[in-house]
Amino acid sequence: MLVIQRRPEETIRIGDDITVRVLGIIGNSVKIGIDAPRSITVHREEVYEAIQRENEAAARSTKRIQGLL
Amino acid sequence: MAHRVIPTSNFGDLRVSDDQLLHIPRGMIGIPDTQWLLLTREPNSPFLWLQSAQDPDRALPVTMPEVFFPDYHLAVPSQALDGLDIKDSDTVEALCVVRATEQLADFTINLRGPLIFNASSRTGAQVVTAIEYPVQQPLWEQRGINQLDVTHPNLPVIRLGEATA
Repeated sequence: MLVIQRRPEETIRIGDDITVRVLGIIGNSVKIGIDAPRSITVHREEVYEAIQRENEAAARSTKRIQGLL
Repeated sequence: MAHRVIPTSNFGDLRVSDDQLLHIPRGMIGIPDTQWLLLTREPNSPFLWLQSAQDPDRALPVTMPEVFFPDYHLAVPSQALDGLDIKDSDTVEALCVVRATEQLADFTINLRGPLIFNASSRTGAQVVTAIEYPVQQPLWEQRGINQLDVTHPNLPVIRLGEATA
């Protein structure tokens, strides 16, 4: 993993058309601004984890309910 | 067309042809399997089974989101559809994973992470919608069971009982 130290208002550029800017730091939370083309997907990691949990829960339920559906 | 027998833990051995397989080249989120079958018990059932062709134990209940949520809007960043090779003439089908419990009334649907398929190539991906839909949406919030207008997706749906090897 590449580790870069940045201060508020400083920016990181990824490739030609993605920038990540540190907008501010309040307590232990960092506000980040991302500029990317519309074709690039940006989501919080928690969204992927939540979807993965639902997939796993759905797969676990099969034995119990397969006669029902 | 070549046939093969797919063993499953819940539905017995299924004899299927290659053109009935669905392909999810990148796997589902957290599930690496890339070959799947779509199963049903009844032609009008709102629920289908997405059965892994690679892991007999793995099957997930899925449904057509628009059957339960007619306003569901499939806004997905184009990058998420890379590899599906969707052309204007292709039909796109969406399926959502259902978290099923013993009580039908308690079922939830994951509207945030639908599976999108190019019906022509039977190739799909699980994506994250741009709209922040819930991952655990109570299923019966808008439509009761007698109000459903069920149309199965334009994908090969295998009727259980007919394909048993």
